[in-house]
Amino acid sequence: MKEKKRHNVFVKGSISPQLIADSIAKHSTKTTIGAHDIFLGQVRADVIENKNVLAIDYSTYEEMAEEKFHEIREAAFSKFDLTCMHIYHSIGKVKAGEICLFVFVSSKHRASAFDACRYIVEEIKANVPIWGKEIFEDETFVWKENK
Amino acid sequence: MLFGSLADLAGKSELWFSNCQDIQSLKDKLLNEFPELRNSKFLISVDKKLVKDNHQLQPGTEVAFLPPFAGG
Repeated sequence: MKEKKRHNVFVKGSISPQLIADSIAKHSTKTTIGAHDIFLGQVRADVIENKNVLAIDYSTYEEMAEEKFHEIREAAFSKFDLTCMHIYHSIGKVKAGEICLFVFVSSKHRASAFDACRYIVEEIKANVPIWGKEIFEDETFVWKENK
Repeated sequence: MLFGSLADLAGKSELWFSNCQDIQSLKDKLLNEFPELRNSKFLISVDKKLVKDNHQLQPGTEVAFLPPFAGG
C-alpha cells in the first residue's frame, strides 16, 4: 500500500531531533519496509565578508510551494518503488547547527530509497519557492541562493 | 506579489496594477515603479505556475515575481 496522504510540510522554526526520532519510530508497524533513507539539511554558519551567519530566516509562497511539494511527491512515487515518504521544511528562523529540511523515504530495498531521497532533495532545492535570509551577528543579512 | 529580496527592495509584497494585458506590460510597470528591482534576477508565476514566455493576463490574475530559490 502506498501512502500518499497530504500533510503540512512547513514547520515553524527548526525541525527537532524529537520529531525525526518519532517519525522513525512510527514506521515500526510497517513491516514491508526494508530500507529507510533520510536527508537532513542543517543551517551552516557560513562566513560571508568576515561576518558569521547566525541563522537563516525562511519564507515561502506557501500555496505554490504546497503544489510543488505535491508534484514532487507524486513524481517520486511514480518513479521509484516507495512505501512512504515524508517531507518537512522549516519556515521562519533557524539557527546555525539546527535542522531546516527533513526528507524521509522508505521502501522494500535500499536502491529505491537512496535514489528517491536524492531526487526529492534536488527537486526541492531547484523548484520549490522558498527563500532564506542569512542573518549575521550584527543583524544585517544577505539573501541566500541555491547553487 | 513580490517575494524574498524583491519584497525587501520594493518595501512591499503585494501590489495591484490595472490595465496590464500581458506579463511584459506588468513587468514594465513594476520596474518603472521600482527601478531598484532592475538588477534582480527573478522567475514569474501566473496563478502559481511558472511561465517562461509572455502571457496574456486576465483581471484578477495572481502574478508573482520569484527571486532565486534557497530552500533546503
